[in-house]
Amino acid sequence: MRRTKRIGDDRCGYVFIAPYYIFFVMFVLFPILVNIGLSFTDFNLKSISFVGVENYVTMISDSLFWISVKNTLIYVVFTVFFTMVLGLLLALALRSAALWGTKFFRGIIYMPYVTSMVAMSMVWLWMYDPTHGVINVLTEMLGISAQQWLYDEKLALGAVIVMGIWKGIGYYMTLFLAGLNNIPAYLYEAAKIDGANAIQCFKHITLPMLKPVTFFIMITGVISAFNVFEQVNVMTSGGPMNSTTTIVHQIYTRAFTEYKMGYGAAEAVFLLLIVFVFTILNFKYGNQGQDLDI
Amino acid sequence: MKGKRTISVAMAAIVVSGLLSSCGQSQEEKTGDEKEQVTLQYWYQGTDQLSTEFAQRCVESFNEKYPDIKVEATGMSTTISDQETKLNAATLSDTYPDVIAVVLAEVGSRGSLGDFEPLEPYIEKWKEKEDLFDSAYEMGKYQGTQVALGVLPNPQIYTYRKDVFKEAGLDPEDPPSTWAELKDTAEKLTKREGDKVVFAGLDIPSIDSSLVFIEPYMRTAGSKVVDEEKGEPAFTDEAAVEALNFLGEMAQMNIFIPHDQQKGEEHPFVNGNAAISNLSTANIQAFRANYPDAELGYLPILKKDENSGDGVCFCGYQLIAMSGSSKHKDEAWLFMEHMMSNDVVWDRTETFNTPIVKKSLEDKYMESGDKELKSAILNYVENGKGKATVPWVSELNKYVSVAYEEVINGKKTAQEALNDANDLLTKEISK
Repeated sequence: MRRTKRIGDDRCGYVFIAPYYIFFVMFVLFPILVNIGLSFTDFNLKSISFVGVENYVTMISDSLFWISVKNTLIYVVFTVFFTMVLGLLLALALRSAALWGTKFFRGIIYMPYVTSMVAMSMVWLWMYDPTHGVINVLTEMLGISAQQWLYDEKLALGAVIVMGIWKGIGYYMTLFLAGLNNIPAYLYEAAKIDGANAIQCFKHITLPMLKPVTFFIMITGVISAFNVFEQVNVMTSGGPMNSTTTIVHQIYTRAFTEYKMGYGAAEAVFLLLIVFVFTILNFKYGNQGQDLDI
Repeated sequence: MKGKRTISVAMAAIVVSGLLSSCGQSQEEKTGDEKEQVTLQYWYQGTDQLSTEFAQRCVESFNEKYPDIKVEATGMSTTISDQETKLNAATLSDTYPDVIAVVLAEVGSRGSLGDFEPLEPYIEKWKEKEDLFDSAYEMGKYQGTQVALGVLPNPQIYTYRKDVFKEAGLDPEDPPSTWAELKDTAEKLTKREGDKVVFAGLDIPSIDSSLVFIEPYMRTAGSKVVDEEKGEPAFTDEAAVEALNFLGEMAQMNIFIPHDQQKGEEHPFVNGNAAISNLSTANIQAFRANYPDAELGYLPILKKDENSGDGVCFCGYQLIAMSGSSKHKDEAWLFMEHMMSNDVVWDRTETFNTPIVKKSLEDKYMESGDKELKSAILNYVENGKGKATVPWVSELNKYVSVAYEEVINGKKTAQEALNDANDLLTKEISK
């Protein structure tokens, strides 16, 4: 009797959250299930038949796919690490809203994050131009010879990573700022009374207190970085010599330019598994550090 | 308490129903419109101002003739991979256009998917069928079935700056005609600051993902590139290796500014930074708009050497096709007929500076405009070869373009690179 009554009480809440779940099922869960199903077929827009695990077997021996996995991992590691470090440093530098120009600089640094990736990729394409690009003008002023940033296989992925860092740094800075502002001021006051210097305060108060934010940023950053595509497609199309092709770029190429929808779906399932593992890590470790005894 | 809960549930229901109903509203409106008049979707090539204005003029003149048929024209990117993405998304979402402008490569790739309606029954009844060039019919056949009609030959013409030739002390009326002469001339025209090329002697693309630049060299040397009769790759022969070796040698001379062949607006030549380039007529138009005072000349089709046979250039074709899934096929054909009418063909020729495809307009074409360019265009169209109409053209482009990149960057010999590309391609298409 009590149980029936409780469900009745919650009905209103269920109705309110229903839109989210309806859209989640329609636009997230259902497409994922369809994609998993497609990965066991040879769907090519014209015909479809069940091929079992053939796509996965092909994927294992597909050298291009593993090049894309390697490139994606390099992109993820460097982009996430440098964006986090630089985002934290900027957050520390722009922490005090009372200082002159702080709000202006926060706004300027955040702006790339809210602009279109495709538009920004075009801008960076011009900046990296081998002859008249501003990057080469700057490097030449520093005495470094002009480089073919996007056309040299040794430099192209690095050039794409730098652009990715620049694009995400404002968002990370904002999250770190929020984290920094949540640290109680009395902790620093107590530390100063105890004779702690700035580095000790940073090491023993700021970093531990930022742990939940840092972990959240790292997990979401890693997931987002694994999905890198737009800048690769616009700036390099995966070249030169496949040195910048990524997992999502391979999925796009296989599915949408070669009509291998089934194979593209198998690659997408591989990516889904990676993202799934990081999401599980987030659930498992994401709350750690929030219960610090203060 | 009970009243409050009732109000809450009612409000929540309104929110949910509002959200869901907003999803379906536009569909109902559309259904209502379609009952009143037939609406055709037409997707054309290009999103630039010239292409958009031309498409708009075609739609307007068609609407004057057929007020009950509404045509909605949408521009597509000229990059093939972007077009494929758009078309695949349209196939999956059942929003494929009724009439579509395609390029030659897509006759094979999309034709193999059964995207297009066979046109023979419509052509049989068409009054002007005898007036269309035979090549316009030939280009639109996939495995013997007429699935498209050629509307716009799109040759890649080797264009050079006569003013730059004069500055460098070269005779602008005696441009290079063989590979060796091209190499020599390009070296003389290149300007460098230290190691950095600031003005390219020749536009050599660092990335040529559609093989528009590479294929003519291979074909000129005698390679088939693709054996279309057998449906097999044929780019590992001696001729293809020789061509790729030559391109590798030129690239090692540091005479070019890196760029992507597919991105026409970024060609150093178009931006005033190169002396010779392989350009579409649209690129030539763009250059003329940027540099109206520059004098242009057009190379003869390059031969391998004095003793070899005629060279081969690249000549793509833009075609018009009808979707096999169109619900308004008769109306779609009326629009196609309109797009092949003399008025539209002439407008297209004048707008894009391309040859006509109707016999009745031949004399008018030869008498008008820039005679030097027109003569070059006709020469390149006559001696041109477009992409092979095989279903695996995307895979071919992918592997051969990487082989080209490996050679011009000195990573592999031409033979090794082409053999590797052939192995990967053969493995993939044999599945």
